[in-house]
Amino acid sequence: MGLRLEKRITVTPLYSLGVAIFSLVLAFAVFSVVFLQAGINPLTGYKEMFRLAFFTDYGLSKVVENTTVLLLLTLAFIVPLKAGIWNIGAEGQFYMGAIGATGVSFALPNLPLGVLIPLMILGAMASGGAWAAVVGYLKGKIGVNEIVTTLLLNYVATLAAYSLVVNGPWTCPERLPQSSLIPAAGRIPQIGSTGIPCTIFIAIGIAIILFFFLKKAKLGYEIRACGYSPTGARYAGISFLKVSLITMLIGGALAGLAGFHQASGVLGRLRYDISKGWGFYGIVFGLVAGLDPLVAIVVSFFLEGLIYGANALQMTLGMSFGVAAVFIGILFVIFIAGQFFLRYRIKWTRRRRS
Amino acid sequence: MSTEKHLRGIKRGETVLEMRGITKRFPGVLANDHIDFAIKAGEIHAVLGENGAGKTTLMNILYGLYRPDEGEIYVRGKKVEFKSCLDAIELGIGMVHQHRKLIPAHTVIENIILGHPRAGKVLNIRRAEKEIGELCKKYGFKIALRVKVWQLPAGEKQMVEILKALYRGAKILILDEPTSALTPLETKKLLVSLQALARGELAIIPFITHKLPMVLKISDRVTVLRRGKVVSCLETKRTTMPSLARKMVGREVLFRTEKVKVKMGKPILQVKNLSALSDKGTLALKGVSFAIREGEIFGVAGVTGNGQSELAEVLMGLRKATGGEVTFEGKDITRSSILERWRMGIGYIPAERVEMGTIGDFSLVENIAMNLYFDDDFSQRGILDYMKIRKHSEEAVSEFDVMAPSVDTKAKHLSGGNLQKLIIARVLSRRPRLLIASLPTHGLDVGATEFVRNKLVEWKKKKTGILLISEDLDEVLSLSDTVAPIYEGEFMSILSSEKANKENVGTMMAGVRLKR
Repeated sequence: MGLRLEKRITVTPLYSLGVAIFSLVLAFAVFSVVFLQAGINPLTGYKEMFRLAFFTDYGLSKVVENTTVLLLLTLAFIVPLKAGIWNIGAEGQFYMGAIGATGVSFALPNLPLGVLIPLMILGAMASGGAWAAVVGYLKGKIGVNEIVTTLLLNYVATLAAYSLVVNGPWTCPERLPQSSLIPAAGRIPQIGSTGIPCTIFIAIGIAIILFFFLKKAKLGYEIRACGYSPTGARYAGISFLKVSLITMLIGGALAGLAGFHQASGVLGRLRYDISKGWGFYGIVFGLVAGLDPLVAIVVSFFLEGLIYGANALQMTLGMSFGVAAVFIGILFVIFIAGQFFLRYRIKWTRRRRS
Repeated sequence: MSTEKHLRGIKRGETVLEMRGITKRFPGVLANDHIDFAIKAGEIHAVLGENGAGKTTLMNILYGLYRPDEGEIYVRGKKVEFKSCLDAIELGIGMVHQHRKLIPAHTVIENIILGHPRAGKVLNIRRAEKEIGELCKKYGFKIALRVKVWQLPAGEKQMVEILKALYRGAKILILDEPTSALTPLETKKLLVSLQALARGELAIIPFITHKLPMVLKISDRVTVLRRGKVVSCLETKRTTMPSLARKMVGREVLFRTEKVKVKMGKPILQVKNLSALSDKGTLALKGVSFAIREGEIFGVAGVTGNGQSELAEVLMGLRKATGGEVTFEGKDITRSSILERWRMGIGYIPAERVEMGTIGDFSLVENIAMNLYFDDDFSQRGILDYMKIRKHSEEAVSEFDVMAPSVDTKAKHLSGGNLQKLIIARVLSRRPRLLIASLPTHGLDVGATEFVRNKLVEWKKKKTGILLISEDLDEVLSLSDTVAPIYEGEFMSILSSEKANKENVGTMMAGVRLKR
C-alpha cells in the first residue's frame, strides 16, 4: 500500500464542517491523556467544560464578552488576508485601540455618554487603524514584508501601554500597574442585567457587513483580486497600494475597536496585560473559519467557549495550572493541521510488484 | 542498467512501445477514450491534435505522470506499469518539455547531470563530460558543454534538454511542441538533428498543435487525436496539409487569413525613442519609435525575449518608461496609470494568459468583471451590479464561443484556447481604439488560432489600431500592414507589408541588419 496526495478541486461547506468536527474530536481524544493523568474521567471532564462555558449564566456571559474581542480580532486578520496580506499585528493594534479609547476618555472626562462613547470608538479605531496603515503603506509602496513589520510593531504597542500605566502618566492613584478608571460616561452600556457589554452587536454587525462588502462591493472585488493574483489585479488596473492601505486600515481599526471594548466595557481601565495573546488567536480562528466573516462569528464563539471552559475547569476540578494552555495548544495545532484536508485528499494506492 | 536490458539489440522498424485501449477520465472530461498507439524504433511519430484533444494527457500517461483508468502499456511486447516517471525513465522513455526546465546559471554539463541517479553526492564532472561528449559525437550535436545555459540561444537550449534525456538513457523521446520558441533557422537545425537521431535506433514522438508544415516535413507517421479519440494514424507521405487539418479540427480550415485592406486613418499611437528596463534591470527596449494608424495592424516579429513584452507592458503602463514618450490620440500618456489607459480605450491581450490575463480562482463572471468593475455603468454607490455583469458575461461567453459548463466555472478549469477567447471577449467588449495583442495565438490549436486572427481583422475593419506581437512569422506577415522585426530591444527596420517577406524579416529577427 502506498500513499498519494491529490489536490482538491472543490470543497463543500458540509465537508469543511466535517473536517472541523473531526479535528475537534481528535483534539479531545489527545487531551484526554491529560485528564487521565490527573485521574479524571475524560467524559466527565468534557461535560464539565461544556457546562461551565455554555450552560452557566456567568460562564456564558464571559464567553460572549470575550467573543466580541476574538471576533473583531479574527476579522482584523481576515480582511487583509483576503488581499494576500498577513496581518500578524492585531495584538499591537488591539493595544493601540485600548490606548486610544482610554486616552480620549481621560482627555474629555466631562462629556455625556452619548458623545464620549462615539469619540472613544473613533479614537480606538483611528489609533489601531493608523498603526496598521503604516504597515499597509510600506507594503504597498515598496514591498516591505508585512509579517515582519506587524509582528515587531506588536512589541512597540505593548510596551507603549506598559510605559503609560506602570509608573507612567496614566497610572492610578493607588500606584498599581494599571491606569485610573475610565469615567462612567465612557463605559459601554451593558445588555440588560447580563453584564455583557453591548459591543457584541457591533461586532456581529460588522462581520455581516464585511461578508457582503467582500462579496458585492467594488472595493471588495479589488481586494479579492489582489489576494488571488497580484499580477492579474495589476493588469486590471487595480492599485495594490490602495488595497494594501485600505485592508490594513480596516484590520487595524477592527482590532482597535476590540481594544476599546476590553478597556471600556470589561476592565474599565487600561492595563499593560489587557490582551491574553488574543491577537494571535485571531490568526488561528480566521484560518479555521476559512476567511469567511460569517463563519468567523460561529468559530470565535465556539472556540472561545472551549478555551473559557478549559480555563474554568482548571479551577473547579483542581487541575494543575497551565492545563488550559496545553488544551489551547492541542486545539490550535490540530485545527490548523486539519486545514490540510481542505486542500488535499489522500489516496491509498495498491502497489503491485512486477 | 535496466534500460539496456529492455531495449538492447533493438532493430529499426521494430515496435518498441505499444499503448492499448488507454482511457483516462477527469472530472467531467473524458480526456483519453480507448486510445491505441504504437511506435517503432527509428521513426518520428507525430501526435497531432487541438488543445484539449488529449495529447498531453496521453503523453503524460506514457511518461508515468498520470495513471490510466483503463488500458495497458507494453514495452517490446512486455506489459509494464508506471508508478511514477522514474519507472518510465528506467524503461528508456524521456520527455522534453515545452517550458524549458533548465537552470540558466549552471553550465550545460551541470544541467545535464542534474538529478541523474549516477551523479551521487560527489560530482564527477570530467567523467560526465567525456560521456556526454561521446553522445554528442554519436548524434552529431555541436554544443559547448562548459558554457552557462543562459548564454545559449533558444535552439541550443532545446538540444540540451534532448541531450539530458539521452544521457539518462532515453530510447524513446517525447517532445512537447519542440519548436515553439525557435526562430525559423533554429527550427531547421533542430529538425535536422531530430532526423539524425531517428536514423539510429531511437523513436521520437513530437506532439504538436498547430505547426502542420513541420509535421509534414519531419515525421514518418502521424497519429491525429480529436476529443480524446484517435481519428487516424497514417504514414505522413500519404497525406496532405489540408486533409490533416480537416481530421484534426473536424471541418475545413482556411490557411490563409485573407488580407483585408482598410483605408487607414490618422495616427492613433505615436511612440518616440521609447526605452525601458527588463525585470533584471538591463536595458530591454533601446529607443524604439513608430506610429500606428487607425485600421492598421502593426506587426512586431521576433523571438521572445527581445524586448517585445517590455514594449507591450510600457504601452499598457505596467512598466515604467526610462526614456522617450508615448502619445495616444494626441495626448501624452507616458506617465498615465494602467486604469487611465483602459478607460481611454487601450486594450491589452497579454501573453501571460494564466498569470496576468485571468485570475484562476475567479469565476468567469468575475474574470469578465476585470475590465468592467471600474465602469460607472456596472456599479452603484460602490456596489457592483453583478446581475448586469453576469448578463454581459453570458453574452460575451456565447458570442465568443467560450466552452465552459457555466459562467460560474472558475477560470482555472478552462483550457488555453478558451482562456484566450475569454480574455479577447473581455478586452474587445471595451471597444478599444488601440489593441495590444501579445502572442495572441501562441499555443492555440488551429481552430482557435483562426478565430483569434479573424477577430483581429474584424477589429481592424472597425478602425482600431492593433499592435501585434508574435513569434510566428507567417502570422505577422499574413496579418500585418506594417512589419517591424525586433532584435535585442531595437527595431531592425520598419517595412510595409509589400516589402516584407519571410527571408528578409526572418534574417533581421536573427539580428542581421539588411542594407537598403
